[in-house]
Amino acid sequence: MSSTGDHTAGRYLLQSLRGNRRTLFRVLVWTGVESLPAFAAGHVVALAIDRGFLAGEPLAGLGWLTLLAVSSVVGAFGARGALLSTAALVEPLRDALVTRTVEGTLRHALTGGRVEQDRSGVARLTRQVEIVREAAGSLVAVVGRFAFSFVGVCVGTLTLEPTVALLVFAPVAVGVGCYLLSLRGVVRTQMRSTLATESLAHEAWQLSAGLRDITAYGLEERALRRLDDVAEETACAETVLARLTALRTLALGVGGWVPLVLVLLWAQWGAQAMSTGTILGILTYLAQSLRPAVQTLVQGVGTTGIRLFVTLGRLLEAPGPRPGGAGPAPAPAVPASVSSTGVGEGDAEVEVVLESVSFSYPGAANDVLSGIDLHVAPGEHIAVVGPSGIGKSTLASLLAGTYGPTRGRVLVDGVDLTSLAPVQQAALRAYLPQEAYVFTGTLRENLGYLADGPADDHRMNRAVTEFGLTDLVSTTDGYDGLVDPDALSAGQRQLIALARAYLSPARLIVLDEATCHMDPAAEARAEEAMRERPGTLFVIAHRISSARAADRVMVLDGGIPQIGSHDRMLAESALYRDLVGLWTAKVCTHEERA
Amino acid sequence: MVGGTGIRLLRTAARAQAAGAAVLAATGCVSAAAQLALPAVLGKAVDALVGGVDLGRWLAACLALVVVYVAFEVYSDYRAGVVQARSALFYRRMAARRLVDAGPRPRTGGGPGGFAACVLESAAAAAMGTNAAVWLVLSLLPALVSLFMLWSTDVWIGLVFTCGLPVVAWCLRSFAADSSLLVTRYLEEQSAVSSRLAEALGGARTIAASHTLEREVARVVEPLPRLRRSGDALWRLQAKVTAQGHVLFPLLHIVVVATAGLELCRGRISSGQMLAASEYAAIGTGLGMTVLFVNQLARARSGAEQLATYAALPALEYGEADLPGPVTSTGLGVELKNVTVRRAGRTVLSGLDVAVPPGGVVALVGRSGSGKSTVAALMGRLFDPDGGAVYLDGVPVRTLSRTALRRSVVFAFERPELIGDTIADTIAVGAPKATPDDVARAAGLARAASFIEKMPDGYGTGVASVALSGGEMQRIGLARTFVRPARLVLLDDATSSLDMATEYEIDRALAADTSGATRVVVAHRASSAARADTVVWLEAGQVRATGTHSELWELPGYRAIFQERPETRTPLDAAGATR
Repeated sequence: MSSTGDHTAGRYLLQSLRGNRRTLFRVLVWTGVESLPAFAAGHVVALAIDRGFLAGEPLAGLGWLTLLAVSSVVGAFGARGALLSTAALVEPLRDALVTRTVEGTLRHALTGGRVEQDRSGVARLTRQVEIVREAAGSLVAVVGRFAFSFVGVCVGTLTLEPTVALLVFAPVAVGVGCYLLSLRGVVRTQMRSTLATESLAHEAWQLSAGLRDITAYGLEERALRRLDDVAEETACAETVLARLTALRTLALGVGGWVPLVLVLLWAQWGAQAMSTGTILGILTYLAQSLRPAVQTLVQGVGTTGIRLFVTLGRLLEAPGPRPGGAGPAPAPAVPASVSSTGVGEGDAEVEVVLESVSFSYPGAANDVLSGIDLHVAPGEHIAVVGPSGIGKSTLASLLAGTYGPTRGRVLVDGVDLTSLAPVQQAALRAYLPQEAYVFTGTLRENLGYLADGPADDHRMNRAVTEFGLTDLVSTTDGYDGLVDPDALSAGQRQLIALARAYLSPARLIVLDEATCHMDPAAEARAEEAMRERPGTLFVIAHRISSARAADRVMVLDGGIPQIGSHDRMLAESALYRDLVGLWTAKVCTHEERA
Repeated sequence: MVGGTGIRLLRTAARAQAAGAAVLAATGCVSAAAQLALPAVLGKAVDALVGGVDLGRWLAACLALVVVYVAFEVYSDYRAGVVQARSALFYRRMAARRLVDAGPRPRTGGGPGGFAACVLESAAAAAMGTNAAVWLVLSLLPALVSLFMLWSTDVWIGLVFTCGLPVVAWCLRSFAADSSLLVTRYLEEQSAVSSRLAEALGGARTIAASHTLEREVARVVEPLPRLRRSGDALWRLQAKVTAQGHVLFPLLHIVVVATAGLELCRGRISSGQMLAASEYAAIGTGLGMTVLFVNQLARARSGAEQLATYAALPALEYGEADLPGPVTSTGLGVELKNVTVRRAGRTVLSGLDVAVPPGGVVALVGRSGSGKSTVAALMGRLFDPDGGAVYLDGVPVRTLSRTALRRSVVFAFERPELIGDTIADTIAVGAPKATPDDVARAAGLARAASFIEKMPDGYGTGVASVALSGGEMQRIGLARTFVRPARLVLLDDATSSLDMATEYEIDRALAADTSGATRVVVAHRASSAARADTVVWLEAGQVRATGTHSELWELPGYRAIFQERPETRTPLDAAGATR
């Protein structure tokens, strides 16, 4: 898992860098400028001492040091430029990642996948993107800075005292090399730690959410043991990480300090006498250029780099299809253009035919619906009733195109629904689930969501009056006022969704208990408006009043569905009688009060 | 006050890790000492080298110091990691234990998300506390010692450094103030994106059916240009500060070196001392690290304060007593005497007396907020009342052992939390000895078998892998109740998301299956109340009247309770209605 994760991450990063070659080049140039003091330091100190301070010419010494100060200022400009060009490299990466994640998560949710809908889960996604952004920026900077500083030090020592250069170069290469070799293990451990942390969060959530049930069933010890297991796994992974951090420090020690000892040894026994300035110059290189460079590299790659690859890997593979989950509707086999002839254009209403339709969830043994036959005439109004969990909503999902039937066909004006491109299906019908979708935006945007083009105020006024939304329009200050979904009641949201369907050009409207949060009066009014609107209407009934007002009622009881008028169903279906009886019992208590 | 508990918690954790912390401090001291001795020894070595004297002694010392420094640094890094991991484990265990021991007594703030964040992030932050405290002290050491070394090498060098450092610090100080505003704006734009995404996820089915994915993606990422602008501003500020740092620190260092060079020129210091001064100046500027540890300590403290809210929870303690009589088959008598419950300053129950005879079926009825669920929770001791007492068969519930209580009482809730990995685990959660047949029988009684069998792996299906509707959850919750025998069955609105036909079937199954057990039903529907032997009508935390449903039906106030909630279903079914 980890290796595929960071492979994709690596590929993704390379791709996005490649697309930005010019900016990458700018980053490199600026980093080169930034490393100027690292190159100059040793030389300048050597010259300042040999030709200045020790030569009895303090002004010359100060002059050389002034030159170093100037190079520092130039280097600072380089650092600034490097950072800004890194930003230009990283900000588009962030934008692309956000867009990709948003699209991936939404698509996953749309195809029936489970997603964390709470805001904290979504916020976690953005936090991960943020980590990637920061880490990618610093990784580019760190690697570039090390490369230039290292080259600077090597060139500097070579020109100062060629024999010493190897003594500097070799330990650094060994230290950094050993560390890079160990990185594979670090990545694996970091991945382990990330996964452990994720399951820890999950278990903690469950523990707190299930507290009442844990107490009620006496499951305290069991629940704590579960949390303890993941907490210990997290601690284990962290301990292993600590061991690897220690390894990093060792690499740092070898790369940063061993050259010092070697240079002293060489100066004493190996080389011909070096000048004081040369010795101090070389030691300055080691202390001020080499050690910081090795440190930033090892720490940068060790923390941010690993974090980058692990997080990016997680992010890229996150919203994948879930094994065993309900899959999306099969893609249309027939090119969209072929079937566009079938569905009669221009008519405001469509005929819907279900031909022995069966449906089971992928991998499930039993059918949720089996052998459903139904013929709905253009403009007809059908209500579906039945006990909980009998498949009413599944039936609505088949009409909504969320799922395709496992067997049988759904024909709209004689055309198989699955042969229509999604966009054609969408233009054909409006589907309203229980949870009405209202988004932060203007009321106009919300109401016109399913309309062909911009809806005119006149039509909108009419919809608003029909659905009793006048009060809402006045609170938002007209159609161009902002709607805050959180401030609306569930019933108000449903009204907006209904008005939206009302304003759409859809010729088939499917309401899946889309009025369940509304009070009976509002519901009756809304359904009345829907009935008067031209179009075929298919309602999963929430109250018996919905069924009574329909042209025909379909009763689902797990066997062969029965269809007929309200009166006929009362006469023929025991279940329907039962449901009506139970429902009217409550209607009676209403009337009693009145 | 709260701060005090945070600090106390940090101290407790530090004591638990005392050995680790002591080792950390000791190794840290050794490596700091080696680091501080190194420039001086290096200077001597260079002087010997320049003077043509044998430097073997100094060289050996140098080598030894490097080895000691690196070795101890390596070990203390490892040790610090271990201390941090163990402290985090300590905090996590503590918080979970306290939370579970306290039970479900409703409290303010947090919720599951808050607890998860606390276990994850606050514990991690607090776990840095011990290390940060040790390092804070240790970081002062090199800074102060190197300052001393600079002064003792040469007064002028010491003076230049001591004057220069505050100037540098002053120039860099503004970053925190400037950046916090920009960071806030950046975070705001960022959360605009995530809340739009959350909204769109809530409307996933509408979006799928309307084929508006592209439009939705565009809408969600619409704040990105503004985010980019805030981000760019942050980068520019950071670039400015980085550039300043890149100028100021080297300049300070160059000035120190220049001063040393002048002193070298005047023959007041040796070239080795000049090197040492340069190194000490570098170590001395490391004083900035101290600020880092102060910040870490502050974060650890605020993490500990978050944890302290859980540490302070009072535990729900159990006694040793057992219930008299046979374990199964006979119902328990329940009695609430003069019970008072207050919650967030509001009185939920005041001086309530309720008695339920053994084997009876009692319905608790009342408007929402009248305290029905609280009464049911007290009967099964999910928490203790603020005043008064609860008795099961005459035994005070507080004195009962956990086993005796939980074995005899079983709950079903309106929104059950399903605990367990698979559906079968979930159902058998309270009955470890249940066989697959028992589970299937219970699911059948709860009218859950049909939809469970339609799931991808039947009873082996992972609970997390399927979207369950509110009605399906309730039926699994009921199956969990059915699977084990009990003497008191408490049904807290446990069938509210089911249609009335199903509810009726389940009710009959329950009556047949748990014969003998006492049943207490929190009822919202007149039909449920009608099937009970006795109805207890609660109003404003007190018993308004007791009697049979038909007797009470004569009272207009009683009838109004049922008429108030016509047929509004809870939005529970919305979650997974596609199934």
